[in-house]
Amino acid sequence: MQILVIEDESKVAQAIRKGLETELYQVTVAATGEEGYFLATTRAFDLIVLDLMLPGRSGLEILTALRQQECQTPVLILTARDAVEDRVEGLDTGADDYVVKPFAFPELLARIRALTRRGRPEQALRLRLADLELDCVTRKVTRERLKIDLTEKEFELLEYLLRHQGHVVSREMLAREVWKVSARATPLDNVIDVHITRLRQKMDAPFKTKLLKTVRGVGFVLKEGVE
Amino acid sequence: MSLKRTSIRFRLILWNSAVLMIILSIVSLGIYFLMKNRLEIMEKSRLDTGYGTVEAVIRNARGDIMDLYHLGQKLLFRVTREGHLAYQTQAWHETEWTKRLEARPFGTYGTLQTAEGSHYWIRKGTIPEYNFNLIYAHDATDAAKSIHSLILILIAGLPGAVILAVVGGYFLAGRALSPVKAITQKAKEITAERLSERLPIPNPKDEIGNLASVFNETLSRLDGSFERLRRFTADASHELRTPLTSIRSVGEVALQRPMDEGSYREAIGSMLEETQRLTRLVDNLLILARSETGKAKLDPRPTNLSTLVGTVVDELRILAEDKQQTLSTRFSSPLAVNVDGATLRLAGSNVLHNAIIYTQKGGHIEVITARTEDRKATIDIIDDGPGIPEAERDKVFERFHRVDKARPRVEGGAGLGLAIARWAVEANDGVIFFLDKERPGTLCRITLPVC
Repeated sequence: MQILVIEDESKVAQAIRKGLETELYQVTVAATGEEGYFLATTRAFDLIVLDLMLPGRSGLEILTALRQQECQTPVLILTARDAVEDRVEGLDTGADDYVVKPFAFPELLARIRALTRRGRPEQALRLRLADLELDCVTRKVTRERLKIDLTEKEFELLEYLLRHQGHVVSREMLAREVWKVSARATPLDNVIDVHITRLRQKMDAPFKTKLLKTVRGVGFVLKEGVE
Repeated sequence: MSLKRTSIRFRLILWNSAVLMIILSIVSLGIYFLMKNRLEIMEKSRLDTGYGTVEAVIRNARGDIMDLYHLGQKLLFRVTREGHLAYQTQAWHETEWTKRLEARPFGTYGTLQTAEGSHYWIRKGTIPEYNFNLIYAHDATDAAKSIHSLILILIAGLPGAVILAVVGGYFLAGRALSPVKAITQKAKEITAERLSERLPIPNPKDEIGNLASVFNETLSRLDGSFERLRRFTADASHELRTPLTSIRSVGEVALQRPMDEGSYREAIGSMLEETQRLTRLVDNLLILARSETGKAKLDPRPTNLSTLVGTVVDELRILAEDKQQTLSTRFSSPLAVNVDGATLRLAGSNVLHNAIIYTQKGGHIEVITARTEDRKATIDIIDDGPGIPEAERDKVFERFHRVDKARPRVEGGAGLGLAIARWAVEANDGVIFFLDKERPGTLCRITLPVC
């Protein structure tokens, strides 16, 4: 899968490139708006990651020009300004999604995954990892065929983690997607940590293999085996 | 030249002179007419007296005109009978214009001005018993001259007075405006760096003194906000520096000598944690910065306050449970308020989060919503923790303020939570404050207008 990253800050650009390449994407980096625009119009990409604050031609200008050229490649914008107007402006111009800097890398990955599989229905009703099973219809969770009683929040949390199994999920993602709190400055981190602890006690502690792992400083991941 | 573009001094003089000129003109006209009237009445009464005397003499003498001789020859009169001259004085006879009088028709009274500039008042009458016609003239030249010189004085005096007014006004306006000059001079010297300076107040009771004190009050407020800004910048830099220091030292120590993979992971994880703290701090600062510039956009809509508070309580309940605290609620429902839900939730969760953090394990926290008699909705968040000293109750809402400076930073606590809560409440037209509580603990009350 081909991704074009238009970002002038070389450290950020290289970090994104490395991170994406680890996830087996093929990455091309453009350091200026002009270069990015040229690449985007001459080569085919599956996704464009576009920084809004670029020297010379701004990200929004490039986005406008691309959309005028009937270029339908999904665009994910990176912005340092998280004011609602800025985000709305980006989305109105034709961006498909946005991530506010400084972003958590797992979040960037999750959004890229979501954008690149867009159009394909991916709403499995039964989620599974090793011997852990979650049924979205009956809202039943079992492990080794044993029923696990979860509160509503714990169920939603587990469902989200299962849908992103194998990928690290940050607290910001959980706050927004599970708690539906869009403001970035709420004291939810502690709440999330306590819920994770309880979830772990119910679905991991009684069993031999541990599935829910904490990645220090980043977030949580649900996967089999050790790091 | 438009009047508005000239100096106040010039305009003052102009107005002053114009008003003076109008007043002087009115007074002059008044004096002129008054004097003229007085003189005319006087001259007329003299004429009448003279005429009456002649008439009385004729009557006393029973028509013998020879008695008139005793009146002297200086008087001006002539007596005729049936068109024939009966008697005239020497003066009448010698005066040139009297000859022309017969040709001039006039009533009882008349006036006459000779070529030499003399004025005469004339009265004509008959004495029917003796069939006499009498013409009497009175020399009113002096009175006419008086009026004439009065006119001259008034006309000549007017420009003089105006010139005096202009010169006087120039100096007076200069004097009156000299404090303005001093204030202007001082105001020029006051810059953002020298806001502690104040304008001179020459006389606090007059208008200019008043203006200067108003300016000084504004300067005080500006000085205050600049001071707060300076302190805020200093505090913010300090708070930002702390996680930066951690990141740097953890990174530097990790690179000091080769370590195993686990230790590297540990170091990087620790650095990332600090980065998150930094991010949260910057996010909070952004919220406050935006609140100050009034740029935050709110979307107020009718909301059931109890439902909103309930959501916040449910969200944070797990933290209280984790500390074995009891978190009880008492909601008055429905409680309709017109608020921006997201902002108010931020306020509620910040206050409740604080209560949970600062209350000891096993403590008790209660959240109550109610409606007061004066159409206000209240949220009370009560805990039985250590409480806040009375002197600190306002200060805790200031940015970066911590009651106990020695206390270790709790999760996410840079001392911005309550500052954000206050902004969030006030942006929704509410008030937030700490109340006295009988037993130890804290009672935080948020009041909002009911819709």
